[in-house]
Amino acid sequence: MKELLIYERAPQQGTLIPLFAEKIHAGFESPAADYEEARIDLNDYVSKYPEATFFARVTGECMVGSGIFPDDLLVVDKSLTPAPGDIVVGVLDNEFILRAYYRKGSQEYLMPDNPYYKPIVRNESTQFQIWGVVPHSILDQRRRNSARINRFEQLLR
Amino acid sequence: MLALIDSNNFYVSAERVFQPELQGKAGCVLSNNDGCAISRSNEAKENLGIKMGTPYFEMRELQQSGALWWRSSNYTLYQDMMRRITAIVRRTFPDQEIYSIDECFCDLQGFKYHDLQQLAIDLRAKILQYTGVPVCIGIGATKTLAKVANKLAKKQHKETGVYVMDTPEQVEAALKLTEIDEVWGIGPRYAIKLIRKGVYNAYDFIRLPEDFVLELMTIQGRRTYRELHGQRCIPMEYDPPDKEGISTARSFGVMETELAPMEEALATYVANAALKLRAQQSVCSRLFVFCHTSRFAVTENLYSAGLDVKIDVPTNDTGTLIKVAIGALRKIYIKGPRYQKVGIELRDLRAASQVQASLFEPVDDEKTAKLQKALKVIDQLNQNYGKDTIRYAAMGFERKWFMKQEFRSRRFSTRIDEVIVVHAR
Repeated sequence: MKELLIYERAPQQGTLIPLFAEKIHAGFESPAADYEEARIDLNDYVSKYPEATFFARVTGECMVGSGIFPDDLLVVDKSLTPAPGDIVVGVLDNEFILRAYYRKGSQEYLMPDNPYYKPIVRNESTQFQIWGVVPHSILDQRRRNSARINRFEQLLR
Repeated sequence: MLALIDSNNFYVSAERVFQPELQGKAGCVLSNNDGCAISRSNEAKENLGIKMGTPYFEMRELQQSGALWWRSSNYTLYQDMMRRITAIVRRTFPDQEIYSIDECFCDLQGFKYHDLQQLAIDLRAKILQYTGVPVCIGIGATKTLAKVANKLAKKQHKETGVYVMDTPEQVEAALKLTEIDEVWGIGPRYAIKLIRKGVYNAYDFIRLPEDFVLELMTIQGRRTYRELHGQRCIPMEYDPPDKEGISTARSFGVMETELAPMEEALATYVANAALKLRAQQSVCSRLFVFCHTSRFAVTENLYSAGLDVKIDVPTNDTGTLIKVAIGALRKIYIKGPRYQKVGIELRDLRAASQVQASLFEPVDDEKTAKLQKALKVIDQLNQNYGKDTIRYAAMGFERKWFMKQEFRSRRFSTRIDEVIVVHAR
């Protein structure tokens, strides 16, 4: 998907900084040349620790309440320790699962954010691990167009 | 003091990070062309007796019965995981030499008054959490001693994964636990010689008179001897020296008899090598092309040939190099033999800047500059969008000759369309 490509990891040599974007006619230097800055890099915004940052794709709907829909892209930061309320990628039964981490007293839960799904409690038979914390998710807004249109239709009816 | 940080069963561990179903089960990673085991899980070593180099066909039954998993080598994934690990290490220990894909040495000079044991334990935990890859850390006065410490960390201190050889007593104990053939720098031939002389472990070895070691094992042996005595003889190498020759050669997935697919393979290797050449800002003035049949196919028509070609104007341009290489291959190729391998070596490398002053200037300067600009753009695109996104037509599209990698996992950490899938269920 074209829109998603900007989220790909920046090349290792760092960000390319445009030195002189335009050819300047001899004699007149751009008055803005000294003020040129590197463009905004989303990598800096979504991950504090690039070496510990991975990406993941979502399937399923248990986190729609948090605005995470099927096919969305997740930023997973393994350097973060989960705090209650954090969305996490966990491992349960050899599978990556998406849930919100919650702790109450000594009890640990992986909570869905969708009333149709059940909480997972950590106990002897259910031993989940936390693989990483999801600080950001990337929703492809254009893929939600038809869902939006349906809502508009109902509103106009 | 020096630290050696070494990933445990690195390829297997890297696979497991993204495929939790492989955790805790016997498995291995196969060599190029899926030939034999080159990285094994502890379960595969201990329970199934799989060795380094155990061939594919000997493991097939185990794999089919489900007792063993395997994967083709996924170097893109391993390289990226290595880059992550070494970057994390650098944040703790900045003076770093990357020794191989799964090992790095760090000079701890600036950490005299630190608790090295605790620093190493914290670093190890950090690497495990941040990347999912377990490592062991050995610390000693020299590279050879750091290696000894690392081995002990792996064998005897599995819980912490760290071993620091600080005091003379610790060194002595560690050397006694290190068999002579496990010492870094002592090959199997010398190990046998030493065992015959009653030298069974590293401690026996350092108690020999130095002259005796020098006579028996030459200067190399003395270097190891001194290193084990705590005297630094092998220096840290921070910048890997520029390569003197760059070579790429790989075996075909299946034997090849036709010229066209061999040319495609060769062109691809040239493109790889030329990229490395540009990365170190060098040009080459000679190029060596070779091809040969399998050495093991004794019943067949054996053939092996190579040709060294001089290039008039030293260059790092992929197009020019492909043209020269294919020209050379056409001269040495004969129809008939079943070829196993084709390869190329770029020779007589020198800095591009050197050549530009003396040779390129009288040539078309503007054209050269334009070409270099174009190459830069191509390299950048290929880095951002995946290898060979922009490629020369000579490299072909079908790639029947491509390495056999039937069981390769996805490139989870470098390709956006190959990332892990998380179930929101």
